[in-house]
Amino acid sequence: MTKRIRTQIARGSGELAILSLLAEQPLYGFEIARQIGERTGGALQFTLASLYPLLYEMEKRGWVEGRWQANQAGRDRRYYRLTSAGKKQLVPLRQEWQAFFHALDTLAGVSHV
Amino acid sequence: MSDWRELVRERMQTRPVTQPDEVIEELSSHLEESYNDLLERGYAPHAAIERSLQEAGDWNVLLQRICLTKSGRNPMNDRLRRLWVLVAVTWLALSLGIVARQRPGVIGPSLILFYLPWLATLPLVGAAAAYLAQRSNLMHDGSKRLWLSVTVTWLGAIFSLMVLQRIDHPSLTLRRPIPVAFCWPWLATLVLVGAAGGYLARRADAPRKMRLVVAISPALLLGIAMLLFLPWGATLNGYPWWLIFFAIDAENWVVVPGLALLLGALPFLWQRSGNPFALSNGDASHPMPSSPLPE
Repeated sequence: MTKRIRTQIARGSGELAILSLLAEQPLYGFEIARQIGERTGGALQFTLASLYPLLYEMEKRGWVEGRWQANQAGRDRRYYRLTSAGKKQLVPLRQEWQAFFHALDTLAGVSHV
Repeated sequence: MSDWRELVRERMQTRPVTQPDEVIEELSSHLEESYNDLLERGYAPHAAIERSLQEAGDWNVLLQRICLTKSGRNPMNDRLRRLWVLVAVTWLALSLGIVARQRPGVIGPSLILFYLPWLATLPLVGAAAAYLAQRSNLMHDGSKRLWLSVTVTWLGAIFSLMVLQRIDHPSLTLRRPIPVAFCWPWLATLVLVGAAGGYLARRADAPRKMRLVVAISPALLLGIAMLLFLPWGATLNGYPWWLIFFAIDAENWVVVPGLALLLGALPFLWQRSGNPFALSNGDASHPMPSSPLPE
């Protein structure tokens, strides 16, 4: 595999994590952070400071869309859902990460499942 | 639980780029959910607040990142511009005052005319500084308290100099190397000043390093000024470089007073802030279990 890895791939890890989650169902910010933490066993963890600037940037790019929804139990929540542009973005992002892990595997024997 | 919305609003609002209400609503909602989640997991309320707030990290950085994303503007640049205006106006006014005082012939022959511009300048400087600081939103409540601690420390240090002058201690005249002549009433006053600075800075929720800097700031800045300016004069007077420390009286004006200020501040350097909404994480006792995602 000779495909060059983009330098921003580290940043893309956050984008990929969020887009992948939202591809399953619309979620609000706290739930996005909670699910990423739970599903990765705490290896990846979003804080308020790392999550919202990224979410707003993705929203500005048109990859996700936020909408307020009433919450019976407490305060209203802003749910984010994947847009069609976000769905298109998810495909190359996944390919880049596969290439990234393949490159690491070739170099350092770090295989991914 | 306290008003998370108000808490976020206080930290996120800045005049040049006002945050939309929905950003404040969303961030405060996140913090509240985080707080409730931690309570369910058995955290004590105080620890839950502290840990929830840690999620935001540096509020200025967060504000900067969100503003850049939302509006493409960096609010810190606006603040810095206004800060420069503030500094420029202050210095200009002070310089005018000094010129007016030193060149009475320019202002007028009478004593009233001589001192009038100088006296009139001081309230103007204060008013301009306060107005611009308020307009720039440079200070929220925590910062105001911190500025108070700095002001009290400096006023105290100036007052202590007046004590020294009244005593007419030999420290006031330039001496040449050693012996060091300590003026105990002066040093005792400085211990109290350091204690006041340390106490007020702790009340302002400043981290320990900041409390230390506030408490010893008069000696620290005097030391920097002396090191910057006085050695030239000492060198011109023929002092060898290795004696400059004594030639500029650093031991008498910087080291010993600095130690006295530090002595007074010591008890307050180790105390924890009682305010769970502290502006810094200096006293954080519940670090995040793992790092956030890389930038």
